[in-house]
This record gives sequence, structure tokens and C-alpha cells, in this order.
Amino acid sequence: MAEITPNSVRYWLFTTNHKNIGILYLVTSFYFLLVGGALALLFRLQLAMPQTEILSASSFNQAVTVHGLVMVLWFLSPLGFALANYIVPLQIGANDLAFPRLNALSYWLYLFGGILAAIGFFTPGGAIDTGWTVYAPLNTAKYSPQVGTTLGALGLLMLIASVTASTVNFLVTIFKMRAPGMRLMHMPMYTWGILLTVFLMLFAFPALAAAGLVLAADRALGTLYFVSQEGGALLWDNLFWFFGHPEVYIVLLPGLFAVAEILPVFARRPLYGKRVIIWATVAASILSLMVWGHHMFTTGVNPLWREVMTVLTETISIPFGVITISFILTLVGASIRLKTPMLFALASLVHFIIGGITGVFNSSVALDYGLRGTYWVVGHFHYTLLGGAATGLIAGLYYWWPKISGRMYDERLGRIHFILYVVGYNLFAFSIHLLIDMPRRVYTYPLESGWLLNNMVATTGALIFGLSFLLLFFNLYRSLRKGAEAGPNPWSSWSLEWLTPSPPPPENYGGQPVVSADGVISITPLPIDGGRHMHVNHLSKAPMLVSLGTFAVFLGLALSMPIALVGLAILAASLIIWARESWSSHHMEGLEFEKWPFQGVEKTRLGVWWLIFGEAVLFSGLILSYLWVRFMSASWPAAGTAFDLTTGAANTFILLTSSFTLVAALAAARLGRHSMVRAGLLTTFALGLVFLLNKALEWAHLFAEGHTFGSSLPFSTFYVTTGAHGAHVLAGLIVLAYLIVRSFRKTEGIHESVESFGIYWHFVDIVWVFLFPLFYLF
Amino acid sequence: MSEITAQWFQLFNLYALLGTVAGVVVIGLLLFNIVRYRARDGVNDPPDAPTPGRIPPERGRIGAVWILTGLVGGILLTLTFGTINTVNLILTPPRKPAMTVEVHGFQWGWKFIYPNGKETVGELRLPAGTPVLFKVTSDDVFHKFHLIEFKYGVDALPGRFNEVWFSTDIVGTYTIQCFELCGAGHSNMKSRLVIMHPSEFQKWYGGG
Amino acid sequence: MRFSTALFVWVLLVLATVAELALFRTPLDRTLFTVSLFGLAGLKASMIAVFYQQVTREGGDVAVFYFFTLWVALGFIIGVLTSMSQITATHV
Repeated sequence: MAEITPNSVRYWLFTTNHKNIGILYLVTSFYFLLVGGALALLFRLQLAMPQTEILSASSFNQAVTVHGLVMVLWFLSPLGFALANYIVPLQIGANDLAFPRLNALSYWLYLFGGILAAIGFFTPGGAIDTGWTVYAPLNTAKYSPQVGTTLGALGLLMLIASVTASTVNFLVTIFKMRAPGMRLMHMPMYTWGILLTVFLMLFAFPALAAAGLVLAADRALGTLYFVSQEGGALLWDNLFWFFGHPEVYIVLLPGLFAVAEILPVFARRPLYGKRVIIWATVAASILSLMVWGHHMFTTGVNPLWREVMTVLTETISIPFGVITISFILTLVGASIRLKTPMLFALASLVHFIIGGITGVFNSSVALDYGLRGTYWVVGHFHYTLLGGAATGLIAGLYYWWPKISGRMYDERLGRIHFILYVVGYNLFAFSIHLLIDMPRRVYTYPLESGWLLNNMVATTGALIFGLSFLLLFFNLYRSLRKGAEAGPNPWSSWSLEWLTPSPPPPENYGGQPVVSADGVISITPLPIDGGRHMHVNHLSKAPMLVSLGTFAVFLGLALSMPIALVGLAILAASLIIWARESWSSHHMEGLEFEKWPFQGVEKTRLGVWWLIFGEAVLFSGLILSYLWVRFMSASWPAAGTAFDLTTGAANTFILLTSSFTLVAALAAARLGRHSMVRAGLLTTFALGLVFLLNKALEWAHLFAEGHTFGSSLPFSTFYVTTGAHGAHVLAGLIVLAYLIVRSFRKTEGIHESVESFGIYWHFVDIVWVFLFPLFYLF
Repeated sequence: MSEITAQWFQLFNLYALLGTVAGVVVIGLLLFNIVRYRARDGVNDPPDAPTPGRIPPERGRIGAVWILTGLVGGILLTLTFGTINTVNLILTPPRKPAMTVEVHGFQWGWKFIYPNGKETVGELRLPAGTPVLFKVTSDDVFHKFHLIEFKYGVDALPGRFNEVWFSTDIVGTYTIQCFELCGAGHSNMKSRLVIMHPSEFQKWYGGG
Repeated sequence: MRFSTALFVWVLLVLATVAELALFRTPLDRTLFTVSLFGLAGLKASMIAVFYQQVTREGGDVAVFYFFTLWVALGFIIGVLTSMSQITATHV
């Protein structure tokens, strides 16, 4: 690529360096904070007094919905990942993430996804207005016909793609790119927090993806999942909250572990029970996958199931209690310096304790009968997510700001910010908590309700809190101009990122970080080698263009087809650019890494494993949706009557054989017999193509007989589930086409590529192994 | 007010008491530590303070974990008992309901269907001191049938009937409101709950 | 993985699929049929995982997460479906 000046627009559009991506996430997440915050202030003004009409009921619904979606998905987690992007590679001694272009892709998908959802505001009918939980059947085309809802759903799908890529990236990076000698237990707490967060993301987001795909099918194609009474409200409830509960821990953990990172530094003592805290979080995370039922206590589900969910939910308090006490014990015998990061970290802890205690109320089925749908719940989640998680991340921002910018912020301004923040926040949140009789998401209320005082105080608090952010921005901005030079380690901390200049040079460390057996971190200079250099500022046009293309495709699908076709063209071109870029997969040449765990599993292959683990949960969600509506239906066509057994069986044999030919190609690659490799790959491709053509014919036949997407539930579920599978086959064929072209040009490294691809392809085969009996024989 | 409401508040107060005590103790400990262990001028850092480039030593005793687990577990067990008792009361009325009323939520109001076929919209009249069984459903989207003063309710889902019973001795007018966002008219989806003297109710209700 | 092993596994997969089809044609008690059918599917999936994806050769670390994923995927399905036991859709 021709010379691009650093800090030019093109530089920022095409950068893949983790530090730059971190800054992009930081700026963008704060932009979305302003959007979500402005919406909040608007509806807080509306609610400050009874019977006001600042916002109409419809505008109000849009405001609260977009506020929720933006704050949770476009502000909080991205802020955590802004810091993660910048800091995690530094903390483990790498000089970038495992897949830098994929990282850039994550950012651009996130940005464009947010824009797509926000465009809803400017369309007839307005933005999505169903509440951030988007319950069924309100989310269907019948009850929410406006295109803004579809745009919201599509923006969400882009975000899910973004986080899936991030998840795979961080999992491979943290496991495979630590400095030699840095064992997992040596890693600083923030990196641990991100590791546990991405694990949860891996298993939780696919459930949302399944729900989103099914909703998109219902709205765009007319399938019947959420429209029908067999599927409807409860099916969405289950799918959404299976994602939704782990999601709140996904949002929480970065902030919580930022606090864990900060407390010891400013207390001047090691963290109490680091090992225990980590294991407790692992336990809480696993439990979080099993408690989604507590969002459904009043829906009429099985009473025993409810009791189980209550007990499991209560159990989560135990690990969090352990974590909280460990934090407090850290302070014993300490020498506490109350600098701004520490102030925010301690406030975060206090808010988290309050939020955690009120959460126990919500775990009770009996109390839930009275509290569900009231402002008590709003108070609870604001205490944990805003008071706890967001405050922890702000602490992290102040803590790492010197490293990122090279400057110190003004400590006095930081303290004033802290006071206004805490006072404003608690005025708001505590008043909200007292409104246990007031329903959520109502745009006004009568004077006789007696809710005026608490609402007024809450609005006042919210205003003070919101305005306090201006101080934060001013402080940080001013530090860039006039702040004192920070130096490498202004806080006298221990972790690796503080052993390099502030801000770090492009390659992070001028050498190889190493951890000795007795826990000393050092950076050994790399041998001087004329030809080698680290491609750490590799620019690539592809990630931004892929995201732009995707954005246009989705926008076009919702609004106008020509836009979608333009988008498709951009997408295709950008994928080709990606494939053809001369990108060295050995951009970490010269650096060594810790070998355990996943010893011997090459980075790309490990990435594919993580990917299919996530996709497994996606298909689990789709299959369960099918089984749910089937068991809820009074009648269902007998096996073999609705769908042609011969076609299904033929496709099964075809796909099984394609797996065999791929394995044969791999065996040939190991033996260096390249013509056999090509033959194997081509045969696999041909078989995959035949599979898809067979399926297309099958669908055409069914359509001709009048069985379309919305004919009945058996057909809705068939098309959506096998369609999603077919899309995965198609995606595989696209990658395979690239591999085939490569096998003709350059045979070096073909073995690894075929092996990595095989893991994906065989997974797709395994899914079909279950879909075949589920739809054709059962 | 009503048996369920009374027990609900008892349970809520139990949680609130234990929660407040726990919160005060824990936050108190935290604040105490912050004050007690503040950095003092001229005093050196503790010997195990973070040292640049050195992995910090491990610190802590596993015993604390077990004690804590026991404590928290004990509190939760107490709370669970209370919860289970109250849930049982909500699910099973102590006296057999004298009447079943079908409740239909719709965008945006409530319709009530009595056993004798009588239908009202926007107002639910019931006799005092008589247990009633509500069978709640929705004619369109997900609503929640909630009795504000009595502090409970149940979800209204299309295609299902969710049951909950109710009884109060106190004559008066109360508020029914939808507690699940259901569209533009959600805030106004209310009805009056009018509890009448049994004889007055009979006059209004008519025969059969 | 040797070519001959891969071929042998493929033959087994084909035979298992034939068995599924044969099972379909056999009059059987519904529960027995379901268990056998999905048992066969599970067998095929395991063979692909072990012999084609070579999950066992990747090492314990990958296998641990493979199993965990299975549990999550199955738990999701079972957890959601059990919530509705004793509920039947009552059509209004």
C-alpha cells in the first residue's frame, strides 16, 4: 500500500493496530454514551412531573428502547473492549491481537450496526420502540410494523457478528500469545476479566443470534414463530433471556475486574485471594448460563422449574459475596492513596454491593410477583450496571489514561467529577428504587399516585450525573494539551504495560518480554536481524469495506433493494481484497510465546474451534425453537409426509462424502501430493454445491406446491433451520473456493489451512447429521 | 388488605431487613478499612507493595471463603423458606374461590368476563371477603395484569390462561394497570377495581 | 489420519445412515424409535468429531471445551423445553 501519513483519515479508516482500534472503540463508545444519555435525560424530564407532554407516548417508547439498547450494547461493553483492545496485548507481552484485520472488522461492524439501528429514528413510524428486551409478539410485523424495528434487529445482527469476531480473537490471543513464563495465574486481573467475559460471550450471543434470525425471518419472510400462539411470547422469552442473563455478567465483568486491577495498586498491597476470585467468577459465569428463568417467573411456567431457577440464582450471590469480601480484605494493612481511579473503583464496589443485595429480592418468585415490571427492577440493574460496571470502567479509564495518552489528567478536576458523579447518580438511583409501585416504561403518571417526589429527585440526580461527564471530557481533553508528562509508570504498578513508554511505541515492546521462574518480568532485546521487522501498523482496506458492504446490504433489505445490490458488490469486492492482501500471518515474527494451554494447536485452527463452539449454541437455539413449537402444537405432520425422504437422505450421503473427500485432501497434503489435494478440495466443493442445488430444488418444489414460509409452523421451522444450515454450507464453499485458488498458486502452508477449514466443514456436517432425523424421520 | 399482600410485605420486609443488615455491615467494613488504612505521610509502603516488573505474591487464606459461603448460604436458606411459603399461598388459595373471572388484556384495556356471561371493560367489580380466581389471558400481545395496591399480578399471554387468586375484605376502589410494555397505549392501559359490599355486588351482578 | 481409516469411517457413516432409514421403516414403540434414531445420529456425530475433526488428537484442552459446549447446547434445549412441561397451549 502506498505511504499513508499517520493520523490521516485514511490511516484511521484502515488501521489494524490494537492500540488504534482501542482508541476508535473508546471515542465511539463515548459517542454512544452521549446518544443514550441524551435520550435518558429527555425521558427523565418527561417523567419529572405528572401528566407532562414533552414526549408523546410513542416517542417515549422509542427513547427508552434505544436508550437501553445503546447503553448495554453500544456503550458499556464497547468501553470495556476499548480498554481490552489497548491494554490486554500489552499486559500479556504481545504486540497485537491474534487476528488484527478481524479486530478492525469487529470495530467497523460495531459502528455501522449502531448507525443502522439509529437510522430508524428518521424513518416513518420511528425507531424500534418495544423496550430493549423486544418481547414477542409485540416485535412482530403485525404489532410493530414500522421499518425502524427491522433496522434495529438488523443492526443487532451486525453487532453480534462484531462481538463473535472479537470473542474468537481474544480467546486465541490470551491463550496463545502470552510472554514465555507468563502462566495463566500470572496474568493481571483485567486480562482475566476479559478472558472470562469472552467465554460468556461465546456461549450467550449465539442465543440472541438465533432469536434475532428467527425474528428477522418472521418479519421479512413471514414465518410464524413469534406470530403463532404455539411459539409466541414464551419462545422469545426463553431465547432472549438465555442470552440476556449471561449478558449482564458480560457487561459487568470488565468493570469488576478493572476494580480488581486498580485496588491493589492504590492500596499498595497484593489482591487478597486472586486465585479464589478467579475461580469464584468462573463458578458465577457457569451458573449465569443456568438462571435465565428468573426473568420468567410470572409467565406461568412449570412451578418446579421456577424453584430450581430461584435456588440457582440465589447461589450466584455466594461467589459474588466471596469476591466482594476479598476486595475489602485487600484493604487490610494497606496504605491507601485516594487518587481518582481509586475513588471510582471504591464507589463501583459500594454500588455493586447495593445492586447485588437488591438482586436477591428479584431471585424470589414470590417477591417477583410484586416487583416485576416496577421501578425496583430498574433500580437494581442501574445499581449493578451503571453504579457498578460503568463506574468501574471509568475508574479504568482514569487509571490507564496516562498510559494511552502519555499525559496525566488533573487530579483535582477528577475529584470534583467524582463527587458530582456519585451524588448525582445516587440521587437518581436511590429514588428510582423507592418507586416500587410505579410501572416501568410508562410515559406519564397521575398526580394522585404520589410518585412525583421520587421522580423529581431522580431527574435532578440524573441531570447532575449527566453533566458531570462534561468534566470528564474536559479533564481528559485538557490533559492532552497541558497535562504533565506521565512517564512509563506513574502509579508504580507491577504489570507489563507499565514497563514500556507512555504511549507505547507501535511494536509495544522494543524486545521480547519474558517472565522468569521467580516472577520477574523483563524485556530482552531481540537479536538484530537485517531483514526482519514487525509489521505492526499493517493497514488494510478490507475490514472497513466489508462492514460498509454489509451495512448497505442490510439497509437495502429493509428499505430498498438497489441499495442492497450495491452493498453486495462492495461486500464481494472487499472479500476479494481481503483474500488477496499480502498479509503475513507471521507478523509476530521474532516473538516467542508461552506454550500451555492448547499446546500444538495453531492459532487459526484454535480460532476455528472457538467459532464452531459458538455456532453450536446458535444451532441449539434454532433446533430448540423448532422443538418448542412442535411440542406446543396440537398436531404435526407425520414423519415422511411433509418432506421428501429421498432428497433428505441423498443430501445426507452427499455431505458425509464431502467430509470424507476433505479428509482425503488433508491426508494428501500431509504427504505432499498436491494434485491429490486439489482433487480432494474440488470434489468437496462439487459435493457441497450439489447439496445446495438439491436443497434449492427441494424448496422450489415445496413452493410450487404452495408451502411457503408462512404456510404453517412445520414449514416455517423447516425453512429457517435448514436455511440457516444451508447458509453455513454456502459460507464454507466461499472459503473453500479461496482455498482451491490458493492451492493452485502456492502450496506452502496448505496443510494447516485445509485442517482448519476441515474443522468448520465437519461441524456443518455434524449439524446436518442431527437436522436430517429431526426434520425427515421424526 | 388481603392475605397475599400481607404475606408479601412480610416477606419483603424480611428480605429488606437481612439485606440492609448485610449491606450496612459490608459497606461499613469497607468504609472502615478505607479510613483506617489511609496512606499517612512519612509512612512507607507495606513490604508486599506492587513492584514494577514483579508478579505480586499470593495473598489470602482459603478459610475465609468457606466461612463466607456458609454465612451467605445460611441467609439464603432462610430467605428461600419464606419465598416458598409465600409462593404456595399465591398458588393455592386457602379457601376455594367462589367465582372465576376471565381477564382479557388487549391493546389497550382490560375486559372482564364473569361466570354468568356478564362482560365489563375498564372496571372490575367484586364482592368483599370473597376469594376469586382470575384466569388471565391476552387478546394480542404480552401484557401484565397487575393490582397496584395489592402488589401482585400475573402475566397475560396470548394463547394461554395464567391463574391467580385474589381476595380482600376492604371495600373501595383500586387500580389495575398493565405492567408490561405493550405499545403506544401502555401507560393508559388501566382499569378500576371496585370492591363492593356483598349485597351491593349481588344487586349489580344479578342472578345466575 | 490414514486414507484407509478415513474411508473405513465413511463406510460406517453410510451404514449408520442406512440403519436410520431402516429404523424409520420398522414399526416400533415411539420412545424406542426416538432413542435409537438419535442414538444413531449421536454415533455418527461422534465418529465425525473423533476421526474427521480429530478432536482427540488436538489435546485435552480442546476436548474439555468441546464437551462443555455440548453440555451448554444440550442444556439450553432441555432447560427450555422442561419449562413448559405441564403447560399446554390453551387456545383462546
